Amino acid sequence: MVNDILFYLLSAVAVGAALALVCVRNPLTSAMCLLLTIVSAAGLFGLLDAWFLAIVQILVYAGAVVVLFLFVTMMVDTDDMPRIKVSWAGGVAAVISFLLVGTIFVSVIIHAGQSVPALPELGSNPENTLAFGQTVKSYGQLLFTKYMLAFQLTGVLLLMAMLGVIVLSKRMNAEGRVEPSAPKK
Amino acid sequence: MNAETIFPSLQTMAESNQWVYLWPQIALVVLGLGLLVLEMLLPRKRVGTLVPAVALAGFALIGVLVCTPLFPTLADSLTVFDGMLLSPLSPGIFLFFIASSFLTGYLSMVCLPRQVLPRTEYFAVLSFVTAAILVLIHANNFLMMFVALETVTIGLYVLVGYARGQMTTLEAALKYLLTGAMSSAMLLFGIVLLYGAGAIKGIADPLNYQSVLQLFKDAQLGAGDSLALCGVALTLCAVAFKLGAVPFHIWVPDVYQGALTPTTAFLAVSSKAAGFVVLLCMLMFSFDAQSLKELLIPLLSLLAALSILFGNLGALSQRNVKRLMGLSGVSHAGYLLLGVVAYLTLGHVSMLYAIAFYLLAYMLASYAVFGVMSHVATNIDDFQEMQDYRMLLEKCPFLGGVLCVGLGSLAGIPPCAGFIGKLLIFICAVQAQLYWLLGIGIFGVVVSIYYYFGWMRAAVYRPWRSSQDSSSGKIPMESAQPSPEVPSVWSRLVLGALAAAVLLLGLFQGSLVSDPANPRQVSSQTSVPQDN
Repeated sequence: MVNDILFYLLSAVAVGAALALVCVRNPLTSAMCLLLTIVSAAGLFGLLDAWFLAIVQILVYAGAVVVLFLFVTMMVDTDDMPRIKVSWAGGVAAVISFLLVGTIFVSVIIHAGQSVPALPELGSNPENTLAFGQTVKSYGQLLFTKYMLAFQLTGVLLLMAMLGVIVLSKRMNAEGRVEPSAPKK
Repeated sequence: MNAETIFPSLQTMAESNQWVYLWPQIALVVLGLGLLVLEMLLPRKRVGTLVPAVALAGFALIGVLVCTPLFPTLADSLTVFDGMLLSPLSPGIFLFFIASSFLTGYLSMVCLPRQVLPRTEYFAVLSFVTAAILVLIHANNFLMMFVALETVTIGLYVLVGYARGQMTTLEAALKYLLTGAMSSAMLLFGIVLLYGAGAIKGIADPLNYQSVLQLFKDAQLGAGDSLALCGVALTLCAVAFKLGAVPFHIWVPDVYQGALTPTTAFLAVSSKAAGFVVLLCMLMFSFDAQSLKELLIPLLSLLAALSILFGNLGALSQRNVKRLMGLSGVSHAGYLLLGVVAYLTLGHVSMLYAIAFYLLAYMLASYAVFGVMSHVATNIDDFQEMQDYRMLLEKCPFLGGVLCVGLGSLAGIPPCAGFIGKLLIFICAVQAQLYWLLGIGIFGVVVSIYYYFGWMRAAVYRPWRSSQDSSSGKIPMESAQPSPEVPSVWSRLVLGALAAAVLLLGLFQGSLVSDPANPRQVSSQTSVPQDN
């Protein structure tokens, strides 16, 4: 019962904050709304007993990503942002996308009509402990067995992203090499 | 938690991680890392020439080794890495992508020195992306597919924005980043819906392609429920973005124009081909998934028809050659989708070979054309117009000849490989009785001849002038156009080999249209089976 109330409360906050995130004009307020969305999503993870995921969500997204957003938006002068006018075509596109998302929504509700639990027998079934990571340990076990290759590939991805940042942000000298430090004139 | 039940299953998972089957990918990653180390160790003056040479030699070596018996083949099981990967498909596909990266590397050796750009990083990112593509094309699990696809896409963001000093490149990078992020989001949403639909029904491992297909096969699982179909549609959106098929083509002309020419070629060939291989891998076991077919066949047909029409009609009025290649690439995606629809309808293995042959012909011809483009280009090649090619055949007969062969093949003119490719695809369409799509395809080919030949005409014929024009001083303006730099011996070798391969494959296909070496092939010896 408490879980139900919490679920509806957190979902309402998440959806409301996400709406505000898009509608609010001040970018800083938007970033704070994003923070609120992320925290309530973390709360939803907690309701599903995925505590590790909830903590990681707060640490990584709320702690690192949103702070990064805040830093960047604070460095840019955001006072005189022009008001974006919604064009006619944009409005039509918005209506169409809304209808498409509505279709998905309806199909989820049709599913709910069959009264299946969203996450069937998670805790009670021992076979499910592998598929669903309640503890950090089960994440580790899966990460280093089944998802080992994906994990390694993520390493390549991060290295490449790092290279990309260097290439796209550093100054180059005439030989086409990244200069160790940008000269100040 | 119950240790006795968990550890044996963990052990079987760990044992199925057979890294030896991934040696081409690992070799490519090691090559990329090696290039970075090499840049640190070498004296500064040597880096610019030596690193690209090492990179190309590495690609060539891996490409050759893939064709030897060292190529990992797995007879006893269909998947490795606990179902994360299909066992390697065929050396031909590996060779295709490695050759494409080799050619991209070669073109960038021509293009990069013209601008003040770092060299090593381009080749390192290129080899990482190639490794990721080789993982992507036999992913058998949505998670694996997503991670590999993200690796490819992020690498491509870097490559597209590489020459960041130019406005067009910045525009291209931003547009590619935004649309790419959008498509990643759609893919994730689709995967989540499929996972949810599978997990509710109690399917084990609901991220696996085959497990997901169970959703559409088994009537007891509520075959074709709306949640799973929504998931499929969203996943298809992301794949269509990779293919550049209409209506997910919106990024194509701008990004193709703004990126460096080698990157454009890589986007046009490798990225597109990877999208098709992923699509086919997902659909490989879907013959009896009736509800999935009922959704996908009309959707893919629509995508194919729109791509062919939009690509060809849009390219008609283009004068910028990079945008023209982009829009014509959209139409080529449409022809390939036509083959996919035929395959989905009938499921003949020969149709896979038709698609593969079309891709091969497309790759050879595209690289021939992009190769000529990189040689004709000056420092900044984003605004290359058709008139820059005026009388190329006269100024440099070699480049002009290669350009004509490449364009002829892309247009589908008989002695070239592109003709056979289009023919095979159209035969598939006839077999699958997709007559209206076939009609649109043929209409598209006719339209495409106009703009391909317009480009060719610019390269071959002296523009006609009346005597007043020639006296009013238009000739000096034309002769003021810079003559393209004379291609080096290596360029002649590479471009000549491409043009020769295009012509050779047009005349003699050999076993390429039905590869006898592939163990998974069902017996269909000819590309055009009459048994339908």
